[in-house]
Amino acid sequence: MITSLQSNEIDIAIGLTEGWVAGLGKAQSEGKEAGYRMVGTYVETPLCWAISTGAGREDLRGVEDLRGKGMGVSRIGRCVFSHCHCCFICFHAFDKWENSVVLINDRAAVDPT
Amino acid sequence: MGFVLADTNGWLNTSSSSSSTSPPFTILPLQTFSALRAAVNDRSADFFMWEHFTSKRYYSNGEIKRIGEIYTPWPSWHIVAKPELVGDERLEEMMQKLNKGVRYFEKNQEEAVRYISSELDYEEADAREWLKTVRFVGDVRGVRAEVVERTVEVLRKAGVVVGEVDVDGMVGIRREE
Repeated sequence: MITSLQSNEIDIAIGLTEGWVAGLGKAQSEGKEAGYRMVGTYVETPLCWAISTGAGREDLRGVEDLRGKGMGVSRIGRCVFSHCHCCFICFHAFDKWENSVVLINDRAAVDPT
Repeated sequence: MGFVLADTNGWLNTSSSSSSTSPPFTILPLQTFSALRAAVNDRSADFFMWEHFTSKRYYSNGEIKRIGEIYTPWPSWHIVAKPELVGDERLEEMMQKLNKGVRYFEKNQEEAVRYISSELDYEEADAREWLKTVRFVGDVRGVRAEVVERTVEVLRKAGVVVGEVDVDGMVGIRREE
């Protein structure tokens, strides 16, 4: 979404907090323009990240067993979460609820339904 | 969030005298949720973190095992806009419309449950549980600088944010509470 904002494909976006802040911090440290600013708060409550392992992993029973282990992530580097390794989830329920924001060039249109 | 997990458990080596810091985990980018589930079963990865309700159906079917959870130490979702839109009446109008959408959602919870459990492939019981965890702000307009500062500090520990940071420069529209 950050590259879409920077390339003017979109003008407004809703996303996970840490992603936006990481992108802004990275841009500042590189002396570059991030291409966006934080303008609104959407969901007040925290997101619950479940921690999972394989069904047969009897050796991993709790968080204390995870130190030094291999953590799978969706992606690093290409998105803003380089080194942070946060999972970028498209939580469709939020998108669908609000449903209806379609950004066309520099206009914001809201679907009346 | 991996680094939030490490920090919460005291696994981040923050000693400035240490010449070599051992990372709390090795990181394996695997692109998709299904690849993450496969990896923890074939042991190419040991664990992953994913949103709770999306993970839950795979606990129910026995594919993966839940071993813990962690909450983001910040409100989960924020709105951003291109800098030149700050002060633009179209942005203000959009936020008012988002507020209307939020009010509709809050008043039509049964419709939300039906939609989530039919269109988004979640169990109805999980949709109801999820609804209990979600609270939108009263007015979406504006960002609390304190929230951004808190997020910056965690990201700094993770090495994602380095150097001086101008929090005010990150926030286009500020709110006090």
